[in-house]
Amino acid sequence: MDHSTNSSVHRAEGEAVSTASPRDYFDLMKPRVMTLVVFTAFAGLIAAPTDVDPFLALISIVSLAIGAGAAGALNMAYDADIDATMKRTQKRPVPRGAVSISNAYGMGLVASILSVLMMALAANYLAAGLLAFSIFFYAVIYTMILKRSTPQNIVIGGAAGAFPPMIGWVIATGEISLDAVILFMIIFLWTPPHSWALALYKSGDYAEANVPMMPVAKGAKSTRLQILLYSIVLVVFAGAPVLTGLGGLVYAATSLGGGALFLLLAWRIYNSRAGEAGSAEDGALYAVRAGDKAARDLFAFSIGYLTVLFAALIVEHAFDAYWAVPGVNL
Amino acid sequence: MAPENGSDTTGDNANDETAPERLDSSGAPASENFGFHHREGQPSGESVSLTEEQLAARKKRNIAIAWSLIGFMVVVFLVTVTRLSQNVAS
Repeated sequence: MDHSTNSSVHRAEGEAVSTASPRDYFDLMKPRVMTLVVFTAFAGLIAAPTDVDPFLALISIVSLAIGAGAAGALNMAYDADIDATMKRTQKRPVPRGAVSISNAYGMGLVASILSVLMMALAANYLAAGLLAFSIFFYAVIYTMILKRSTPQNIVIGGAAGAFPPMIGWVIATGEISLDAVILFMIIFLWTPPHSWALALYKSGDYAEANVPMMPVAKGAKSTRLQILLYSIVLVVFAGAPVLTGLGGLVYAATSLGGGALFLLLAWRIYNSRAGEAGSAEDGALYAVRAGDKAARDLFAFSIGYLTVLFAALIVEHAFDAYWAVPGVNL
Repeated sequence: MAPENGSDTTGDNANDETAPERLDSSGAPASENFGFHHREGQPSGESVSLTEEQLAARKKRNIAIAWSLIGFMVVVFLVTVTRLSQNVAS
């Protein structure tokens, strides 16, 4: 075997020599999405009525984050053509040419397997099974099947992003309870208004990439109405943890205040002409044309809303700030 | 897809002794490679010289993979020990 430092290497025909850095591979894992995944999973873990070894909990959450990142890498590998078309995603590692599609698949698959194994070792088989299913759901059901075929893509596909708090709960308890399902449903119902608000002010991008997001397939007016309807259902349902005793006064106040603002912004979208101006020239996430500001505002606020909602659960259960809402606990 | 290096014997010139000898991808006469020839997607035998930037990037990736593997091993070890100690205690 030649151990020389000769820099000449044999290459398969047509294969480019990579200059990808570890950072490019990290970016494949959609770090911002991973942050929200970790946060909501942590909330589920903390809110669960069972103590768990802090070290095993930490490793379990890290496994979940890597699993979510792996699903993101598989998504970027499959959607390289779409990402190359859309201004918002053109700078991702695959369309930029930093990482090849096959390497993105390779990394996604390896990270998926390792994360599920780690979860099984550190937590339990149910949590590992849920993690494996959520990766499969996001990478195959959503990315490969739903995304390009139906305007309901993110409604059904939103389930993938709703698993983390449920998995967090299962890490602690080893079982799926009503409260775990409620946490799942909150994110499931949050996803459509959140994603459609973005799709409204980036509809030109989606149309160019032939992705049948709701504003592209059914028009901006229909999307604005559906955002309002889903927002009402979400805000009402977000009160469910109070009824089961999972959320106390802090959560109730947060849910009421945040929900009122959410509805206000959804109402503003409904009464606006958002989505009718096409995408902004600037591909940045929050870049928007004048008529689309209502959509951008709801998109930005929806992230804060979900964060604050789960933060309230963390505060109540981690810092002994739980006071039951009188008369409503079942 | 036709082979690239002269092993095609189905053409009109297959038995034409006056045709110039074809070369394989490395520039050597095809008759010297005993019928073995380059196929698309397989190593071609060609080599390229990596630039300093490519070498540095490869080194960084290798180091990152090495640390990841070491981290994975350490985590598996620690988790196993923690689980074992929990089971023994119970």
